[in-house]
Amino acid sequence: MNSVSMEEVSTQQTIHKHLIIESQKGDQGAMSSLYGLYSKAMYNICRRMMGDEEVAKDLLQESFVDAFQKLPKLREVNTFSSWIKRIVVNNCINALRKKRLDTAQLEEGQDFIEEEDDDYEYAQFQASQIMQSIDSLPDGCKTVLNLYLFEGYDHKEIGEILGVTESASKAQYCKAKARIRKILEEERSQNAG
Amino acid sequence: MRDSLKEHIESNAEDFEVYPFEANDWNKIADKLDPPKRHYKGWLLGVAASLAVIFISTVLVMSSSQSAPTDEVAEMEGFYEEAINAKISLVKNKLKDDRILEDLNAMDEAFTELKSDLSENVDNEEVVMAMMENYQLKLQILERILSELEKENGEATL
Repeated sequence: MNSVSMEEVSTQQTIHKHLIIESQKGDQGAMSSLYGLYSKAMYNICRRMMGDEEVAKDLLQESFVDAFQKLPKLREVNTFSSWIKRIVVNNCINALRKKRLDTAQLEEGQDFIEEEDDDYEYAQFQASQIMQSIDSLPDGCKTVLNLYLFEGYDHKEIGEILGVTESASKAQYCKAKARIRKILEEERSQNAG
Repeated sequence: MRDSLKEHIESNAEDFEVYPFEANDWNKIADKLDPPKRHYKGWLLGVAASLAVIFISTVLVMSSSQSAPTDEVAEMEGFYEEAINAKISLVKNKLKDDRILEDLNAMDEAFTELKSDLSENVDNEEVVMAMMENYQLKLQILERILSELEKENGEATL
């Protein structure tokens, strides 16, 4: 973004807005362009949450179909980005529920860890190593962690989305982080040894 | 409360989009998308079907009737025509959809044709009542279209 001037940003925003408005009118060319702009980021959400490439691709398609069908009713085109992300996240959560994501187990073990300062040096690892460790988490705490870390929801919102308490969400997040640190430490020891 | 994992991910967000993706399956999505404006078409077809039934009923009643006053008929016709035209222009303003406007025009043409066919027989009380009923029903249908459109506009503002 540093090398992009304010003028270029403004032009991009105008084109972006135009694409959304044209898509609302049913212009498939504009829809295809929006898909090109958003599909990688949305696919990454699906892939992080579902942990499976094929399932993620199916959910991505389903989400874009949903989004384009609902798009004519979107009044604030400036909110398109967060709006489509919410559609994708909701579809992932519904798919996890069908896959029997047991939200009741998220309420268990809330005394596992209290929130504490975390000074662990994650920068010593590649992003792909961290993502692999996240991918290996159980569905429940992985969902909480993904929503909190990547999708920007707070624990109260996660509680509402998943139908659990805010404290259960916090506890699962701490549990997930502890597991990630453990996995990364084991990996580092193996590499050193 | 410091959270170095969240800080690390937020400051390197793009690096964490680690899963490669080629956006080359647009056609699969396009195939699943409804043709635009199909939603309106469904209930307009319903409305068109209702109008067809009304017209046929009117024709049947009129063909089996005879003689009545004509001045009052013209006055009532004027009243209903005005009310219906006002509703049609409201619907047209709200729709802004050429295909649906074409459907509405087709309905108007059918109604005009029918009226002309029936003009030779407009002097029987039973015939007049059937015509008025026809106008009232058309008004009700237009009001329903307007109410549907207002409901949809209301949902869109949510």
